[in-house]
Amino acid sequence: MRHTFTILVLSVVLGGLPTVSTAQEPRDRGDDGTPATPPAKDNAAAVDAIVARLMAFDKNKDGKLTREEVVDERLLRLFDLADANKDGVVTKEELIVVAKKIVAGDVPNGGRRRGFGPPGGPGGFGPGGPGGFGGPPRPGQILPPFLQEELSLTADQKKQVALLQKEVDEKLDKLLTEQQRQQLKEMRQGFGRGPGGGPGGPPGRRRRGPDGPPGEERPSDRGPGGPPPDSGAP
Amino acid sequence: MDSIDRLLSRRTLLRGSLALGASAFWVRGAFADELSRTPSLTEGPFYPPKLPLDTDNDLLIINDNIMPAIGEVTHLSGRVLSQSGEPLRNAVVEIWQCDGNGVYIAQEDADGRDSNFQGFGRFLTGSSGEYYFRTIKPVPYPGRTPHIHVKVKKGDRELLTTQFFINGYSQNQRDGIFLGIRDPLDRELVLVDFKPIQESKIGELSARMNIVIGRTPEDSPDRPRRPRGDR
Repeated sequence: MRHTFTILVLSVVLGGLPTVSTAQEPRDRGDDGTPATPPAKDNAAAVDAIVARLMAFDKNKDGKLTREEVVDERLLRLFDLADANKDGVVTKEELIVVAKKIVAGDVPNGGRRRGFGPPGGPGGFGPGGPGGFGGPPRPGQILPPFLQEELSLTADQKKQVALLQKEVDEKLDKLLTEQQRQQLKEMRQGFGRGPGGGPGGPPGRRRRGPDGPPGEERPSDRGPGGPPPDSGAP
Repeated sequence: MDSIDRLLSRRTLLRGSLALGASAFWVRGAFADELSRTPSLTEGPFYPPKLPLDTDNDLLIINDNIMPAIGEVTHLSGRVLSQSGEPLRNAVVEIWQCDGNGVYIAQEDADGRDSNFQGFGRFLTGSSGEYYFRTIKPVPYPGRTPHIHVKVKKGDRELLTTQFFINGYSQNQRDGIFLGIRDPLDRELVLVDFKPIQESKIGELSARMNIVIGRTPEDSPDRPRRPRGDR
């Protein structure tokens, strides 16, 4: 049972590893092909834009949003996420907190840790760009810190997660080849860097295990130097 | 109909979803463009060139008493609205997606196509703007995160072509087409929650997403038109 659980956890975290199909528009990269890092003010602008767009629903201009004021049903999910104390009211402060998380890529739809806008393009090759502002969980991470906060884990739970993480890391290391371990290490170093972090993972590394078994066809394989996987794809 | 069908009949679902929708829509046209348009995304190469024989809103072709492993059965619904919140009636909503094996019906020569999956569906909205389909939760296609293609037409005019994604599916963050939506708030408009239906004994899911169409002049010469006929 325990073994099964570990396998399940492993398959979930491995499933979260970036795949090769991250071709982005060329304009999102610097001249040398590395992804551009957005200046902090672009992220601030992005946060402001999200807040402004939601506060537009504040009919009575009291600086707060009620669920009833948000007449666009599709945005209620975000409303509920922002409503930290679950009182059916979202203050501008709660909104700013969520907007920052979105821009940092800490919520499911957040895309890259780059906010949005041309300099903040997704630019993902290989490991998917530098960490920066928190960002999506690093490969193999079971429960990223922001999620632990969202779930209000107790200190004891956090300790147990840390132990579980250690176990996962050890078992993962055992089942990977030396080369894979090295690649993973490089990917991990690419995440969680401070703002303005470097190019992150190894440039030009478009695939996992380039020396994998010959002739093995994985669905996401496009062949070396093939066309960007997502242009015109269905 | 067996009891599950009755429970999940279109009418029941419509009633339930209308009740949900009613609270967000109490005065026609009162919203003055408050609703953001659903972003437009590429049609891709697999819009069926010939319509399948069956073009109803049920994408599952399942014989009685047989429940093949077609995928996670999903009841997809929502309302087609204008930006001011008015429902769009007599709009045709079409969806198409690959089957559980990753094959589209348009891929005629492909092996492994699931013959229990219709792959394309169509629904004509009524006065509530509501649309409804029975389909499967989308699965990955090589190089793409799971998605459902959606098209909205009225008469011979195409109003919108886009794609729906699974909220929280990590591959979204590596999908070029999804990431092509720059604004994170706009991404919310195509990210769909697939929630288990409590009463279902076979693990059916429900997915809900409104579609908001931008204002267009009635007779814009720039609107793409498809020839009249069986489309």
